Amino acid sequence: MENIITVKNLIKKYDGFELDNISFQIPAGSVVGLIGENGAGKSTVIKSVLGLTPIERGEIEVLGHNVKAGEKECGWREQIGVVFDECNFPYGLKVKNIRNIMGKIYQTWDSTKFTDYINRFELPPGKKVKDLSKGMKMKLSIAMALSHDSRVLILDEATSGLDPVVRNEILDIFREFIEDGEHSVLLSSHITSDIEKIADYIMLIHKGQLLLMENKDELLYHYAIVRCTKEQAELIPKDIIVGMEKNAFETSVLIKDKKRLKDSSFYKEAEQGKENGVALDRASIEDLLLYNKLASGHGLYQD
Amino acid sequence: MKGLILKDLYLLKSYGKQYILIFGAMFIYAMIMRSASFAVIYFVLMGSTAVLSSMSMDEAVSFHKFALTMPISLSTIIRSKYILFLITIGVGIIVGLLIKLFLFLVPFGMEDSFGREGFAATITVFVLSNSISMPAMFKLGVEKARYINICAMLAVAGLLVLSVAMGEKTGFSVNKIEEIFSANVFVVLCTVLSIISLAISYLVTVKIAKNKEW
Repeated sequence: MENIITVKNLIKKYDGFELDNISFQIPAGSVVGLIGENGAGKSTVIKSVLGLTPIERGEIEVLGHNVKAGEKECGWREQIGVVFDECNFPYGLKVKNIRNIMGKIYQTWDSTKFTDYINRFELPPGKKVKDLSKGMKMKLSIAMALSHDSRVLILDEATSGLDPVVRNEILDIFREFIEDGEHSVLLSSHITSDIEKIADYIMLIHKGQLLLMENKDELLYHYAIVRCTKEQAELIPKDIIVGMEKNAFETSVLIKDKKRLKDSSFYKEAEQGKENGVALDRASIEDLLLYNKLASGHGLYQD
Repeated sequence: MKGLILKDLYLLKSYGKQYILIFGAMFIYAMIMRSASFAVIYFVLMGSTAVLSSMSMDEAVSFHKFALTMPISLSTIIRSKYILFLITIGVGIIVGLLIKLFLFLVPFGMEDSFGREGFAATITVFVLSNSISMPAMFKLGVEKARYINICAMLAVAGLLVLSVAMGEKTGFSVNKIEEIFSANVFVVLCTVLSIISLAISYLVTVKIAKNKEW
């Protein structure tokens, strides 16, 4: 499968923060959900991919183009659509002005497509950006990102602050966008429910480190939460534990291999005790985020 | 480039009513003061600072970060602002000249001491101050650039006044300069100085913005 975005050994340093040797690939025809808590480095990854920030080291390739910050070559951007967490159109512009402006910027601009989107989103052409609601502004940004020959959509927290109805509507559009198998979406969000609904792959970033990039279905199939006692938790094979949360009543453990747990002697040994039974629950993407954060706090990454 | 300039013109147009009101009020004020020079200076000043207003509207929504995700290079974004400056100061100059013409045709008995030299010197002061503030606009943001613009304007104008005063003392008076340079030569000198300062300013801005985090 062709890769739309390839990042190799990306290092970017700020005071007190570092993107640490990040590598990943985004295949064509997929939606990749980039998750992580605030300040984890999601926006820095996106800015690096777009060439908006100089990097210390690494290689970034988007649609076969070697991306470098401040470069003169910019034709490759004809094929990307970007939506940030806020509307970046100056507030004095009218919706219809944007159609004319973008027509002069993008060679592949499709005014009819833009008009179709603004009709579909019920955006009044004569209204100024400042008079649009947050959801409408976001729809306007998405309409713009989709109205030229974009093969990849890059969205940085684009759905945050929107109500569930609008978010759902937008996720439907992303599904339509990748339908032909040639387009991709990189969606960064801390709203894990959105990612769970739409993503094919999950990228989890924490404190500048890429903790995992896996197929979402496989991830959700293999990962599980074991709810048990503190003593029973000790019997879980250490190498499948991702994170653990303990309280006075129970211990919850996120494990990354359900099958290995079942094959291990855990159940047999756990049942020998006189404690309560063990429950194995489905893990959600939110659990991945929370337990990975807990794991880093408890030093579980220090192998 | 065309798209960016079109965007700036739409934005300035969206504030068209305010501009017309300010122009009208200042024109009336100039008539009350019986000073055509005031009106001319004011309109050129308005034209020269319009780029700061446009930049401020862009900055409020991080438009340049967004524009850099489009098929537009950084130098094109910067160039578009310099072209916008030339357009708006050009409009300011034309309006100023029209007012001079109007006051010449309609006898209001207004003072009009502004010859070609005065007009050229005024434009040069505004071009020089913008040449200094435009790199600052990209490096430090619009708000600081506004202060820098005002300081640069005062500094350039102050330097000019100081030079004239010094010249008078040393026997190199304005009259003597006028004997050496004709008005036309002075205008050409001002134009050359303006072009050089804008070119240097553009190159400095491109260099500064290259390493900027967007």
